[in-house]
Amino acid sequence: MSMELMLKEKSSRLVSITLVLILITIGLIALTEKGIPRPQIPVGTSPLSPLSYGTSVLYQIARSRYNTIVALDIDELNTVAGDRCVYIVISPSYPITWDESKAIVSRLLQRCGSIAIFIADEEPTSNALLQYINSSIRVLGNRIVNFSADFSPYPKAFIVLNSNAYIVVLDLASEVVGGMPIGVVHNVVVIDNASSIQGPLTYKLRAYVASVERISESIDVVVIGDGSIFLNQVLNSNETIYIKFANSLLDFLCSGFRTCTIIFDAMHSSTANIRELDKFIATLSPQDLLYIFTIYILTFLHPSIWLPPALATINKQFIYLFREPILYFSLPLLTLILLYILRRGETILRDEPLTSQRELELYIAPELRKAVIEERVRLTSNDFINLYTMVDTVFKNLIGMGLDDNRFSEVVGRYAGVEKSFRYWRFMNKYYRRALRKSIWPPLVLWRYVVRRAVEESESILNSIGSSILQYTSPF
Amino acid sequence: MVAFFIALSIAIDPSLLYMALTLLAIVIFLRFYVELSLHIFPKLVVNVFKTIGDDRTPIEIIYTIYNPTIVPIVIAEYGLHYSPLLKLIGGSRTGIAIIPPRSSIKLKFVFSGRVGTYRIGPLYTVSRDILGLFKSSIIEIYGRFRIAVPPAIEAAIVRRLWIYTRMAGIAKSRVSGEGIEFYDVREYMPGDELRKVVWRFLASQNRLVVKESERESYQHILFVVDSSRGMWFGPSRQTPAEHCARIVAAIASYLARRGYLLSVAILNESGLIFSGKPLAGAIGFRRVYEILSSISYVEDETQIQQLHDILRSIALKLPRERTLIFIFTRVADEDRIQTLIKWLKMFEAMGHIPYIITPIIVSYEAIDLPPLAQKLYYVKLYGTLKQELDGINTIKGCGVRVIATKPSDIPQKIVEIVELLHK
Repeated sequence: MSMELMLKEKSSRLVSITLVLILITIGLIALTEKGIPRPQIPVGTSPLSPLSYGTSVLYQIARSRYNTIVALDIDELNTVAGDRCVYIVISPSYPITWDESKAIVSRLLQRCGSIAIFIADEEPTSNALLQYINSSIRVLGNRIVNFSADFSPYPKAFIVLNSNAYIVVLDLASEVVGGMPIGVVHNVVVIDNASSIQGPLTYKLRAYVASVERISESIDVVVIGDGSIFLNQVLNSNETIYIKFANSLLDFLCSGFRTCTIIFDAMHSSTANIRELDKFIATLSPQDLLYIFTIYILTFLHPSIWLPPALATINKQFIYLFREPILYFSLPLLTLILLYILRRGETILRDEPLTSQRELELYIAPELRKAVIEERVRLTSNDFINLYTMVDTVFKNLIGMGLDDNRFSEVVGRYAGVEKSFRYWRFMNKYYRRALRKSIWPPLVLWRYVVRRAVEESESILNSIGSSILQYTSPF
Repeated sequence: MVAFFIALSIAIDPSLLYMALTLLAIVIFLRFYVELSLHIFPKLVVNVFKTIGDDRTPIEIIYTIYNPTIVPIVIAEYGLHYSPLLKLIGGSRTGIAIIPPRSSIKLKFVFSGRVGTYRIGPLYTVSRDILGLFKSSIIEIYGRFRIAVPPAIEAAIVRRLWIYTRMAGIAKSRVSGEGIEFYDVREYMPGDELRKVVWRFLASQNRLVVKESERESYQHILFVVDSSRGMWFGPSRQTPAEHCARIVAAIASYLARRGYLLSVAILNESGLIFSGKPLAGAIGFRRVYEILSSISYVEDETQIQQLHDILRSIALKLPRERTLIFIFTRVADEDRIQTLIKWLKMFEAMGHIPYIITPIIVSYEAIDLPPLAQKLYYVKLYGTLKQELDGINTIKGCGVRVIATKPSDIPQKIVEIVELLHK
């Protein structure tokens, strides 16, 4: 057999637009019930922040290579697992307390084979964590500036990682002490007071800005005295060295473990309400402003902002309109007219099952046939006349005389019995005259029963002479 | 719009995002699935297996649908269209099918057998997703084709014809040996000529059999079966068109054995199907039998081939020799009656002998009714009956030969005419 395939039309359609509209209405009401949204924008170095000072790019880099999560809460550390867990803290907005350090380290040690803690911070806010793990490394929180470039706060640091040296420009970096130094800046001035250069200044030929330390078999720590080299604005810049450095650092921290989980600390990052934009607007780049503007627009589009006032306004207008009797009566009429205009020419398509093939049996009078089968056919005097004519024709063809002949009972009586034939002949002629209205007797006739009886008796008489009413159709 | 809601959920509560994305993913997946299935349907391999006997045996149509792809068709609504005169007795006209990947399913449809040519198909489907959110447009996966069901040869009628013609003395026993066309072999009987003995048969099977030849007869007989709409009235399988086809098959079976030259023509609103030049014997019968399965109900009501043109085509195809023409048709309206009279007179003028065999439609319609209901139906349709009988009288009055008898007596009547003419 050959295959006959035809693709008539390629299109799909929604089942019901009404259903979608109902769902949208329910959604709008539900959103209104939730109240006015108060969107928070992650500020600082949060891995969730796409702003210039966020670290979402670093988070994306880590996620593209390793299993990566963002810890917004300490309890989220209960879900981490792996041969190696790397906990990354970059310039936290709030200091890490001793208790928090305890909770973080104990949970990680419980769930991971070994851990690495990476701190990139120019403030001593993470020192409690270093102290808790018995690390000798500390971030001093001072500021390193160039001696040879008019005290520029952007010294170049040489950091050695995985046998590679990286030259990165720091920004308001802090000195790091303890551990094994891996990053150094040369020919710098160290300012003890981070907020001012009025304090004591110390010239140093070299100052360390990055250190590593193996605390135990299961705990390693890496500290860099500056978080700015991991910010979005740096990693998005044209300088690819920072991306390379970030990748190298992640590899170093994971130490070649097959299942390495990287956890970004976001619980010490601050968020700001979008309504308090003025507090940090000065620090935002044009891209950051676009992002915040989009959130603003979405906030204003929220139904809880516009739906209640809109409904209140409509309600007020209706109250005003219904005060006037003319408007009161004309409004429903206008609504009906509008409905008529809108629905004019509209075609409603329902989701209906496939059309089933209709099977046919052709008949001259299908309804009549059905009525006859169900014995609810209406019989009248005309039907009696028809029957009389048919039987009369059959008798004329058979015996040469019709029902109106006086000798009928005598001739037919030879086969069917004289008395029976006579009774039949009298019955047929009596009702024939009545049907033709030549006689009024009997005055009340139930033709339904009379016709049925006439059919049965005619068939009986005809059968006795070897014929039938059906012989009417074969007179030739 | 969906993106807008996602953005809103981010703005209100980030935890809602997962639910929103999940719902969105489900909707997109379902939509994608329906789109995907639209591309799968053309790749389905559909084969059809038909089991067709005669009109006494059911017609089995089995569609095998093979899905060669790795994507399952989860819900495919299917439907089969077919000629409205067919009656489905097995299977479902519409249903839901699931076609696993790289697997096939079978859809079986069983129809009650009816004489004639009928349309089956197209088989079409609609793809739906599991939740019923989306559905595709209707796709035809297998086109339409035609099946031809020949009439059953009723052995009882043929036997009755043999008995009737022999006992009435209107036909002598078969004359063998006069012709040259081989017909069959039979056991040797005393009196058979020795030159007709098949010696090879005797040598191989040690049985004495003789060759029988077809009786050579040069009487041409043409059956014209009308299968226009009016001939399809009545209960399924008992319509005049089907009954006429069965009668012609039975008569042709008898007459072929008697050596007559047979041909048949089928006419309806779409035109004329002619069996070709009259043929004798088994070949002639087989040709007539095949053509009888071409009777068909014309569904397209715009097709109206005029009876006048059809009868003219028949006149042009008639052989020069005297031909007995039996036209099975109904005499419904005045125009039809006048056309028939005109052309039958023409056939007579051409030296042929035409007969009209006209079924009384009401009697066919009442055939399956209980006895009392049958008579009441006659009474109620007295007007129609009278009109048909008046039509027959009109034709007879014009000198046209008409056979209007009980359906069961028609074969006997025709054979009687043929044999008496040939005697």
